[in-house]
This record gives sequence, C-alpha cells and structure tokens, in this order.
Amino acid sequence: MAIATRETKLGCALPPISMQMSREKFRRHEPKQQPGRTIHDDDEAAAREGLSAPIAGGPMVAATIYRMMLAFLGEGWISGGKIYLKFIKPVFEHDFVTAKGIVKEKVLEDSGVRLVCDVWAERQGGEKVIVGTASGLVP
Amino acid sequence: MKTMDPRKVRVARDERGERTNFEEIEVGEDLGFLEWTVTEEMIDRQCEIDEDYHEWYSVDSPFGGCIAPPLISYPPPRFLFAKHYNVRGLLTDYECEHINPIKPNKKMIVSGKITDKFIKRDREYFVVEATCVDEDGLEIFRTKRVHLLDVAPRTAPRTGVGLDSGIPKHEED
Repeated sequence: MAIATRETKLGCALPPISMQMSREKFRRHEPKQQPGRTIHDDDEAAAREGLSAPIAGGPMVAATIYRMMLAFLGEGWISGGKIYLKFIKPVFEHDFVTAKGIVKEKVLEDSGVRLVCDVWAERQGGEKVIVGTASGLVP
Repeated sequence: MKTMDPRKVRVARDERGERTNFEEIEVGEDLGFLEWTVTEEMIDRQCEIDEDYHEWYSVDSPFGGCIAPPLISYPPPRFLFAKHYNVRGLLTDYECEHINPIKPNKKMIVSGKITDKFIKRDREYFVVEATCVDEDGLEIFRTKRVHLLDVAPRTAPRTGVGLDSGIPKHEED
C-alpha cells in the first residue's frame, strides 16, 4: 500500500528506512560457493585499491532509498520510477545508514502526477553518504 | 626493501589480467548485449542482500505474479562492461528509469555502450549507458552510471597488484 497520493503536499517527509552495515552483510554479494577477496570484505583487497577499509557496495546502500521509495509510492515506483544518486562518501562496516527524503515537486504527466523527491542516505551522526532525486507516479 | 603505500599506487593487474587504462576506454564503443533471465532464486538472494523484503517479491504483486526488486538490474550492465574492460572502479553516479517491472523467468536483453569519459580532480571516470528490453519488446529499464577508475590520482604509478577485479573470474561468462 503506497503512502503518497495526488494530495501529498510539498515538503512531506518520506518514511525513513535504516540498515545496520556489517562485513558479513557486505559478503552477501559474493557467490556462496566461491567467495573471493573483495574491497567489500577484505582489508588487504581494499587497501590495494587505495581504500582505508572495506566499504559497502554502492547498490547495497542505495537499496535503503529504493525501499523507501517503494513504501512511499508503491506501484508508481516499480513502473515509472526514476532515480539519480550521487555517492559522495564511502560507507564502512560499522555504519548505521538511514534513507530519508522530502517531496519537492509535483509534475502533471499523461499517466498521473509525478512526485519528485529529494532523497539521501546518511550515516549515524547525520553525515550524508548519498544524495540525489527520485520520483514516481501517483494515479 | 621499501614498498610503496598501496594507497599511493594504482593497480596494474589482477586475476583477470592487466587493468584497463583510461586511454584504452573508447567513447561510443558498443558493449554489445547479454541475455538475462531472473529466477525466483535470484530474487530471494537480492532480497537477502539488500534486506528488502516485500510481498510483491515473494508472494504476488499488482503486476501479475511476483516481481523482482528493481535493484536486481544493477549487475547486468556491469557484466557487459566487464566483458570489454578490466576495471575494478567505484560507482560514483547512478541513474535509472524503471519503466516496467522485472518479472521472473522472462528472457531479457541488456545492451549498452560507453558514452563518455572525463577527468575531474585528477581522477579518471567513464560513463556507461544501458537499456533492457524483454522478449516481448517491452522496455524494462534504462540506466546511466559513472564509474571512477581508481581511488588513487591518475598521476600515481600503475604498479600495484589487485585482489579484487570487481567481477569474479568464474562469473565472466
């Protein structure tokens, strides 16, 4: 069930979605039968690529924003969703990440009203790690 | 013998061979296509990776049967790129238009090309754009990504040996 409707007001906050990061979770991306050493789960692999520590895969962090958009828009996110994200800070294994957003614009389209939202993900303490926009249709 | 700080060199090679240099990336290059079919097992795995559980992904949806989480669309364009170039890189910008839901057991075609490359703040970047169409000709998604080639600046010597190629060797095909 979506939260957003045509009557949703500008400035409306989207439902925040959080995820506790961990190296074990970073490792989930690896094939279970043949896990490798990657920048997501191995200190040495990360160091050799110039990173101070293993980092989360960008899509894994972006998934918090995707979950938020689905909760907010429902069908209009799955079919008609648009997203632009900029990954501005690395996310580490002990970070607690929360996706947030607000409605910034309503655009009338042939198939409904597009709600355009400023979205971001931040770690504990409020530092933003992803910023961008996401939008979808409400009938 | 003194060794260089790995954060001050760029990786020259890994298990897939020599790393691609910025100069070798050809803007406008057609990356070809790959066939892609999402299974229910792949959907379950994606839900587990992203902790993204929803009845539409597991039980039923308004689109007629289960659908996949939209972010399952991330890897195919990456694989397409990896068939042509050996880059670990980091994703810096991600854009996607989700036009229609991704349904399990439906054959899809993902095609892509290199659309740009640039240097910013002494780092090298390239841009990949890809589209996905299902076997009925229905457009599923369009995406555009910017990848950073190396964390270290482009002036750092390319002498390191990487442990992570971005794509596991056994998944290349």
